[in-house]
Amino acid sequence: MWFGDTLFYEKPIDITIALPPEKVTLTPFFHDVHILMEVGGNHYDALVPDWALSKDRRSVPALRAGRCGDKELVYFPISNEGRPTWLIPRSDLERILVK
Amino acid sequence: MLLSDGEIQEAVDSGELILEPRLGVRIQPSSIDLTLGNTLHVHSSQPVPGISIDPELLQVRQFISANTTEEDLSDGRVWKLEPGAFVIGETVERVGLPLHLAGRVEGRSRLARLGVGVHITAPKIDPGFHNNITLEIFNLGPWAIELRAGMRICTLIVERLGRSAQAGYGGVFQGAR
Repeated sequence: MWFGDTLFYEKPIDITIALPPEKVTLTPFFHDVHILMEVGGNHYDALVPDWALSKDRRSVPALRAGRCGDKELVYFPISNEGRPTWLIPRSDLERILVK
Repeated sequence: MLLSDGEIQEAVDSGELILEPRLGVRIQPSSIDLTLGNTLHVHSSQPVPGISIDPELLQVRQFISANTTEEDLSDGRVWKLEPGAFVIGETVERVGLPLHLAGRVEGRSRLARLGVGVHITAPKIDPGFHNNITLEIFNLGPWAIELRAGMRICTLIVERLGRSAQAGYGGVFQGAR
């Protein structure tokens, strides 16, 4: 899978990703937070700014930026490690979208 | 194209470039000096035998958090950065870059000549960034260096992009904090 194979959406779609406490570990690091979560048996992580988390720390905003085959390209807010990016199977993403 | 002192001043005054707080900030001819915050994460100064780390491992950050100590520099406390030591700190200032500006954090020559670096080959600040800047501070010199909160620790270069970055963060990412 290659960057050039990605079909970028003309307008990225704002989404909110749920962070169910039983599936997620949040590790603060200065003003960033490392999210480590398990979805459908797969593990994903992202370092995001702490301001990006909801007040109850149960969700985080993101963008659906494009798709590549059966996977979705998801961008998170930029942290001190740049822009966290997931290429995540659509079925996994749908499990963690806040409706 | 790097922003000059006058362009930096205009960008901050207009809100195009966010820089908070501004107390302690010093604008240089083509950069902005930023200051060290109150907290340091300190790595062991000695090699830790028997442990090797896979940087791609998703749990590596939890490992680092569990294996560093936190030092508080508030109330004028000083941390002596011994030769060979490595700590992680952050700037007092929160920096916000729009999608048409990028940044690079670099060391100050005064510290460099004492052997102190403030990042390890990771100076880039992406457009859309909005946070305090994390610093990887190390001492290659032969003397211990005193680190204090509020000292001018690094300088931020701001560059204007040829065109704005794509897929930026509008809407929910605006008005952070």
